Amino acid sequence: MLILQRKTGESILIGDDIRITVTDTSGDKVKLAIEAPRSIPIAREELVEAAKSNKEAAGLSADALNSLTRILKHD
Amino acid sequence: MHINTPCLGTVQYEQKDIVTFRDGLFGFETMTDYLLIHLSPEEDSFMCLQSIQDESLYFILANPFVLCPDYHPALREEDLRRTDFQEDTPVIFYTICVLKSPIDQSTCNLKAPLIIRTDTRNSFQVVLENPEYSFRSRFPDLSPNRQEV
Repeated sequence: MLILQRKTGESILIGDDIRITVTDTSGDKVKLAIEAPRSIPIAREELVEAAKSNKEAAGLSADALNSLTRILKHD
Repeated sequence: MHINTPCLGTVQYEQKDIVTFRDGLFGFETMTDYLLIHLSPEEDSFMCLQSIQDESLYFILANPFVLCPDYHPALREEDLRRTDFQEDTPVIFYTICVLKSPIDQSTCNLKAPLIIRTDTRNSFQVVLENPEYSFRSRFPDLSPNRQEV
């Protein structure tokens, strides 16, 4: 992994057409400006994780649901 | 109105029962309308969130405060703005479960709970600020043996 130090206003370039600029920092928060072609998806990592996790939950097996229903009845 | 659900058979509902997620759930942004249904009549720690738009889509929800008694969700500023929830807005939190068999292999998503407004039923899924919560927390405390303790 490459780790770079940047100051506010400085940028890094990824390939020929992606530029990430640090526009502001305050406390533990960093504001980034990202210039990239429209075809490149950009997402906050936690939102992608949340979507992945929801998709796992949506494809629930009947077996698993039955074990929960059994426990609830037992209560 | 009625809907044929995969886990609870035919369920009757009225317009006022519909829980609306204006922004959908993460990964299901176009699925906005759901019913919140009890899995068993005397139990409200676990519920079924059944999609109205896609009858095959449902989520099993749990009360996060039951699974994790010291749960203390902290909303990000952007979510406070998006949801427009105030200090006194009546809401219930639910965590989405991924059930496994055996049940103690199951996980719940404490990091991205659902917040359901009990008055308007306008609801949101948010990703919390809390670094200590995971998208996949195990709930071994729910093992079938717990009654014997």
